[in-house]
This record gives sequence, structure tokens and C-alpha cells, in this order.
Amino acid sequence: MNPDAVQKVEVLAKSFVPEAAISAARSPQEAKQIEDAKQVRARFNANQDKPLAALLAPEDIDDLSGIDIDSEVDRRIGEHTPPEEDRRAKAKKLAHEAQTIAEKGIEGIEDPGRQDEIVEEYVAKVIDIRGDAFRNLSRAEKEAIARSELSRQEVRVKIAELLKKGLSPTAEIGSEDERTLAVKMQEKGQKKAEEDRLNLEIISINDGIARLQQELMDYQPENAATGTPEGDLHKLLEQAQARINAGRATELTRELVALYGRDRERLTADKASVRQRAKSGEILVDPTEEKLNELAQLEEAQREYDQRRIRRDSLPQEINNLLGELQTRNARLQTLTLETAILDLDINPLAQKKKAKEQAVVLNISRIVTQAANNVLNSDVARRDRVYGDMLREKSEEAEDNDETTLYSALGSRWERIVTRGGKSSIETIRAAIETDWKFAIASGGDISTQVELLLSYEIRKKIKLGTSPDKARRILEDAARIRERLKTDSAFAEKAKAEYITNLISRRLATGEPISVGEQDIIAKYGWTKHVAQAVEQIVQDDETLKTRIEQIVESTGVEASKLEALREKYPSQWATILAILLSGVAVPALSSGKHWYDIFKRK
Amino acid sequence: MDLSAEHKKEVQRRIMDTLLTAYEKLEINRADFDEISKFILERDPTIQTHHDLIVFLRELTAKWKIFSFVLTLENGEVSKIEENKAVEKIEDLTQEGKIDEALEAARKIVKNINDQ
Repeated sequence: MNPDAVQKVEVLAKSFVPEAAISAARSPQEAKQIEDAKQVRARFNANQDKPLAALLAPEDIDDLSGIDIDSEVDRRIGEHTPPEEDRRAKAKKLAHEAQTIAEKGIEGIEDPGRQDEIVEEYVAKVIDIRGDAFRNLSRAEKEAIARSELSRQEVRVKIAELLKKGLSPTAEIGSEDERTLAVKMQEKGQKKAEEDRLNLEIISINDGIARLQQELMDYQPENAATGTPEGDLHKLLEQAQARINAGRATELTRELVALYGRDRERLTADKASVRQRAKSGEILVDPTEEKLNELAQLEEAQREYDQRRIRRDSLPQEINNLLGELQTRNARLQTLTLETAILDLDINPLAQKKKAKEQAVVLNISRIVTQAANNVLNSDVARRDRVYGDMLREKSEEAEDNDETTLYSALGSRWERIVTRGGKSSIETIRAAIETDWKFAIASGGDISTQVELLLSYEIRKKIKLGTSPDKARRILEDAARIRERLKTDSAFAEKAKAEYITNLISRRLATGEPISVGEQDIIAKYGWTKHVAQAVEQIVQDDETLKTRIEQIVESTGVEASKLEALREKYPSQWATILAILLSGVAVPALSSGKHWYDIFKRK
Repeated sequence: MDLSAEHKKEVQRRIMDTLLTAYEKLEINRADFDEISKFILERDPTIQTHHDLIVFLRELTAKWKIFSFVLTLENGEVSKIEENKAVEKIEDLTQEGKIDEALEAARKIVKNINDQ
């Protein structure tokens, strides 16, 4: 920065304009960047619905409103080849090479340079990586390779040997990811090839089934079209069958038997003789020959018919067999499709999957189950209360009579659950107050809300006794939690609560004649709550009967004459309540001079 | 897990805000800004699922730490969704009294998430 600029900055800084000083201290580039940032920010703010639009340079897009940003981004993406695609392309190439080597050996790689690369990479990887291929070599071979004593040609021989064992040398080439991917792609290729083969077989089987089904149909005479070979055959068969059925064959046989008797040998010999004579032209037509020919035709038709019937009867079974074959192939095809789909999953998002696995959101089973169980319990009040009721009863039996601390302590975390709706902090406070002597807790100090809260906790402790239903306990604690929250923000309410507490406390003591405990006296004195004591007493003095009883008690216990008390009441009406409080409870009232005065008087007495 | 268009835009807005704030405060320079912009624009259309989004944010954060806040937020989102789904399923089973099945379902869900 030049001296002038430094001076300017100093002046601005001294003039209590730090922003201006900082601005002035910026380099021109920084100032330009900030200006640029403002413009980008403005574009971003104006295009909240298309947040990435602001990243497109304004010189490229003059009017954002008229352009589909998503399409524009897509178009730009299309100009780049993502790294993932590069990686996949490389793996695909490796898989292709592996397939080529498996089929044709290393010589199958057309590029001699690539051949050398593969061999070199293979040797390097075999030495460095103890893969399957390396493990399958003998120890001597491994050592030889490790010492690079094998020539390139020898390595090629080894590759060929490995290929015979079904191992792919390219499995040792490339990065681990690429090799895995290549293997997967090769597997996918094999599966695809099997799929193709199966599909062809399925087509063939389907054709066969269709043909057999058609043949079966054709054996039904009503389905045989006339003019076709099948139709003609059926016609012939029908005629033959009709004649056979009509007894023509039997008739012919009978006629022949009549001619030749039952001498089959003579008939046979005669048939041969007649045929010979007819053949030689010695005779033109022989009636016997006609009969024989007709019979032969009938017998042939019968045979044909029988064969056709056997064929027809066997067709359904053949079709069934083919359907079975089809089913087997379809099942395999389904398996292959599934396996290919799984391989696809492995091939495409391989890197992402690996990373996602490392970065997976690990859920804690027990936490989920507990959360679910709690949700269920909370949504089912009756069930929850039954659980807690059982638990309370069980613990009550264990706890000593009236030993609430033992009970609550035994309840532990269960207790917390009962009061869950009261809020965590209030539960902790209440539990602390319950499990620790509240008086000591108060004595340790705290603001007014805390004091009242602890007093409330004490009351809660007394309200929630053994046998209190969990539901009631929860309601009490919920009330307490609400009160606590209000005490934090509403000081008037806090004061009123405090006054009510003291009034109730004194009232109870006065009503029962039970003395206020030392601890309670300490608290009242320490926190200057005497005016609340006085207010409590004032309430008492409104009740003539109670007052009369208490004055009698005072007279009896202190020896102060009743007339003197009456005199005090008349002389100091405004302080009468305080005087009574002191007399009744024995509370020292150091905060009130008049109180102290009266205390001293009676003490001397 | 599906990624709604609205949620994707919300994440885009967070990314943009983070990027612009860093640029405005000179925490990154123009070259950084251009490189980040290019990376975001290239990768954005490939983000189709929540899984893609998380992978993208992890890569983005690995390259430029300024985006770690966006990733943290999104991780929390994924975790919340997965957990809610798991809890809902187990709740249903638990309410039907199928405790063993609920436990088994929890194990499976955890395994599935880990295997993703």
C-alpha cells in the first residue's frame, strides 16, 4: 500500500470509522472481488427459486428469467466427462482386455504396445501384490518373477498357464478399485452372454412348443384345413377308419379266406404268384390282387392311423417337457437378471458405495428400541401407568415406612420418566431437593425463584407419598414444573407464591400448635421473610377463637400477662401481628428493628 | 432415500450462501470461487437421491472446508429421517406386541444403513 493510502487508513481509523478504514486498506483486487460478490449476491437473492443460477456468469446469460437454468446447467455438464465416467470407461476397457486374453491369449490384444504394457503391469503387480494369480504360481516361479529372472516371453507363458487355470492376469492390473470393477464388469459380461444364450434357447423352446401345440390341434379333424397335407391325411384316415369300422377289412379277409380257405401258406404263395404274374403281364387284373391291394391299403391306413394316434397322445407330454425346460431357463434368467442387477449396483456406484459405507449413519439399536418403547408407553397412558403402578407398589414394599427418600432413590431413572413431561431441568432440581435436605439446599443460597422452587419441591415431596398414583404424581410435578417456569419470569407471582408459602406454613403451625422448626426459622430470618410471617399472623388474629387460644398458650408458656398483651395491642396496633409472631413462634426478627426490639423485651422477660 | 426438489433447493441455497459469504469476506479468491462454482455446477445434476447429496457434500467439504457446516446439517437431516423411519417401524411392531420382531427389524435397519 502506498504511503498516501496508509495515511488515509490511519486517519480513518483514528476518526473511529473502522469500516471505512478497512475498506480503504483493501487492494484494488479485493475491492473488485467485494463488488463482484455483491453482484453475485444480488443475483442469488433475486433467484431464490434457482439458487445455482447465480453461479452462471452474467455475460453468458443476459436474461436469467428467460432461461431454464436447470437445462442450461445440464448442457454445461454435458460438455464435461465426469471422473466417474473415466473410471468406468477404464474398467470397461480392462474387462474387455481380460475377456480377449481369456479367449485368444495375450496375442489377442491387437496393439503390441498395449501387450507390452499389460505384461509389464502384470509382472509389476505380481511382484507387489500377492493376488490369486501369484498365489497359484509355484514357489520357484514366484521367486523367479520376484527376481525378474523370467523373460517377457516366459511371463507370457505363465500368463497362458494362468488362463488355463481360469485366472485372469488382468485381475492384477490397475488400481484395486479398477480391478474390482473390471472383475465385476467381466462377470456382468459373462452373465449377459449367458442371458443372451438363454434368451435364444427360450425363443427356440417357445417355437417348439408352439409347433407341437399346433400339431396337436391339427390332430383334431375339425381343425385340419382341407387342401393341406394334414387335411388330406385326415381325410384319408377318416375314410380308412370308416371302412375299417364298416367291417370292410373283415369282409375282404373273409372273402380271401373263402377263396383260399384257411391255408395261409397257400394264400401267401398265391399272393406272390399272382403279383409275379401281374408284374410280368401274364395277367392283367386278378380279383384276388384287388382284394389284397385293398386290404393292404386298409392295413396301411390302420397303421398310419395308429401311429398318428400314438403321436397325438404323446404330444401333450412332449409339450409338458418343453414347458419344463422353459421354466428352468426362465428361472435361471431371472436369477441372472437379479445377479446382473446386483453387479450393476456394484459397478456403477462403487466408489460412492464404499464411501457411504465408511460414512454410514450408525444407529444404535438399543436407543431406537428404547425410543420406540418410550413412544409406545407415552402414547398408551393406561399401559404406562400400569407399568409404573406395578413398579411403585413393588418399590413401596421394599422401602421402609414413610421413607420417601429411599423410595425415590430406589426409583432412580424411573422416577425421571414419571415426571418427564415436567421438563428435564425441573426434574433434576426437584430430585435434588427431594434427595437432599431442602433446608441445606436453601441455606446454600440462590435467587428468590430458586428458594421458592425448593420450598415447592418440599411441598411436592410431602404431597407425593407412598401409594400416590403415578398419574397423580405426574400431575403434581407437571404443576410444579409450570410454576417453576412462571417463577422465572414473573417476579410478582414469585413474591405472591413466597407469601402464600410462609402464610400457609405459619397458619399450619399456629393451627396445630406445632413449633416452627429451627431450620425454618433460620430461613425466614435469613431471607427477610418476616413480613410474610407477620401477614400470616395477621390472618390468624382475624380469627378470634384461634387468637384467644394462642394468647392463652403464650401466657402459659411465657408468663406474660394477658392484660399486658392487650396493652401492647392497643399501643402498637401496626406491629401487633409481628409481636404475636415473635411470641408465638419464637422467631428472631433481625431485619425489623421493631421486631428485634420486641424480641429483646420478651427475651429479657 | 428420495430427495425432494424443495429440499435440494434448500441445500443449494445453503451452499450458495456459504460460498458467497466466504467470497464476500475474502476468505476465498476469484479463482477459488470459479473452481467451486464449476465443481458445483458439474455435480449438481447428478444428485438424484439423498445418498448422492451426502456423497456430493462430503466431496465438496473435503475440497473446501468452508462447506462443513452444510454437510453437518445434512448429515443430521439424513440421520433424523433414517432414525424416524426406523423408529416408526419398530413402534408399529412394538404396539402389536411383536417385541422379537421389533428387535430383529431394528437390527436389519441398522445393517441396511451400514451397508448403504
